[in-house]
Amino acid sequence: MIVVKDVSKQYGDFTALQNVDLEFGNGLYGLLAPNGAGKTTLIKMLATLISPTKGEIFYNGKNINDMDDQYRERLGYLPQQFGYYKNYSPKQYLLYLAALKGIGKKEALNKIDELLEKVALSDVVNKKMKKFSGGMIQRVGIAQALLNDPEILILDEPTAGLDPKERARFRHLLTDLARDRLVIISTHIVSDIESIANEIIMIRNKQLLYKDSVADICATLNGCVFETTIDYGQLEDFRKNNILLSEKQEYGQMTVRFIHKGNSEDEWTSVPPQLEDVFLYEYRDELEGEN
Amino acid sequence: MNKERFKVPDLDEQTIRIQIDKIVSVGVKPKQSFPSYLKSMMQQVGLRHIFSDRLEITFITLLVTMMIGLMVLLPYYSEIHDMYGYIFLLSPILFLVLSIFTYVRKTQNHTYDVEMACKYNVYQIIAFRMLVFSVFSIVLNMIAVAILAIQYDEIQFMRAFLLSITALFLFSILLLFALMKRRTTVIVVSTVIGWTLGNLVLQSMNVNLYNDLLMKTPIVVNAVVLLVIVITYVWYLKKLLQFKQREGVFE
Ligand SMILES: Nc1ncnc2c1ncn2[C@@H]1O[C@H](COP(=O)(O)OP(=O)(O)OP(=O)(O)O)[C@@H](O)[C@H]1O
Ligand SMILES: [Mg+2]
Repeated sequence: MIVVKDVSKQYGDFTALQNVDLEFGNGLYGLLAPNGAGKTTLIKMLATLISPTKGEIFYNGKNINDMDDQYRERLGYLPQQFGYYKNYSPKQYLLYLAALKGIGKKEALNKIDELLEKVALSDVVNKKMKKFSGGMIQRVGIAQALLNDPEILILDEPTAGLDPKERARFRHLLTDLARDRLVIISTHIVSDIESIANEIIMIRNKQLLYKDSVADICATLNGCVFETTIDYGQLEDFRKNNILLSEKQEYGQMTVRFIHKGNSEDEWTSVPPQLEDVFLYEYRDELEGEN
Repeated sequence: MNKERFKVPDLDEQTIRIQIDKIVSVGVKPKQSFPSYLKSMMQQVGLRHIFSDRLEITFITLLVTMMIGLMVLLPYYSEIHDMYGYIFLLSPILFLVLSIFTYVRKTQNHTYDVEMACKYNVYQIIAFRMLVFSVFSIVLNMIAVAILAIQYDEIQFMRAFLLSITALFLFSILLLFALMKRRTTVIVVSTVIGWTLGNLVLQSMNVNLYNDLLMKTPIVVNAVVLLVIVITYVWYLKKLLQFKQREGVFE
């Protein structure tokens, strides 16, 4: 079990995270927040790449920085930017990383075959990685994180660059893995995790916003999400009085999905809130700033 | 006797559990000795992967060839009594260049994040390489000094050897120290320049004290100085093995 206790991280004068408390047991955790919220910062601390400015992180009661290689032995990590050697084949690179992870060559060779099969790269095992597509590289990265059969698996935006088919395959793989280990994945794509995560973690304003199941997080907007059809001309007015989540154009009319707290109108249809709605609602200021 | 009970501060369950585990773990964790750590690293990672970089191997070969050439040619172009000085000056350079090269390549590489999360992380590989480089440089020094000593009767093998090795380790310590502080580049560059200039200036001015220091110090004193320096070196190397970066940015 990982316990993040009162952790803050500063880069020089800039505070990236402030007083974060978290607990992770076995299962799948989705770290969901928009760009720049501090996902990578939290993940790098969990992977011991950087240390908290304040607070401590414990694995089974031991400080992970003090555990040193004993922690890293149990860790599988995929960074947001997965670096590789251009002239290496996946097999060569994985053999190299297996050595750094202290895995014997014979054991590593078997494991590598099995993993490359799992990420559907069996037929390019010996091809140089400079000829790979972005999605293929990413899958080597996923395989690499699983080399040492880690108790703790931490993946920073693992689905970036994967096509829908590979995404689906990856979700199956994750569900499988999370049965007997601790898996944390970060993303800003809601659909990647909403169906598979045991718990969702959201960070806002450098602090923890939610750590809860998808159902409980969605419940915070119960009775506030509606859909209705309006004329195109009404859109501006509508936007002023409600929080617009999405809009769809059909036959000169707009179907809008929005949040309204207070009395509703008759022609509105109340719909069950989705995780995406909560995401758009909670981060509306941040997301607006981006557009 | 005062039977008043001690007041137990309100600790939440989690804090207590962490504290207990912490105490237990500190007591239990077996700490591997430095040599046995190096041995298991050697066995598990293997030299092939510790020196996996083809560019690095090419670079090393080139440097070594240059150094040997220099050592052999140098006597033809300089006074014999300057030789000690040159050895003192040059011997650390090889080690330094190799170490810096490996350090920069490893820490600036885009694979840094991946390798940092492995059991044997970037700093441990660097420390191991530096150790190998220093052994390597010692052997090379020995050969060079032996060549000089055979060619020139005035040069005592033992003295020249001790001198060059002392220089080597002195420099290694400076380098390790610089690597573990931040602002690495500035410190390393100024150390190299300072070292080279300082030695050259002292030599060209033919300062008596400097020459005496190099030529006349009893060998026993040399040996003791060397011993102290080697111990310090190993101590710093062990620190590099456990080195953890405090900040996210590297300068
Ligand atoms: N090394 C660094 N030095 C200074 N500031 C940094 C550094 N790394 C991150 N930051 C800042 O910390 C904040 C959080 O960054 P972080 O990379 O953790 O965000 P993120 O949630 O992973 O974003 P994204 O979805 O784009 O990957 C950002 O404002 C970023 O500018
Ligand atoms: Mg990120």
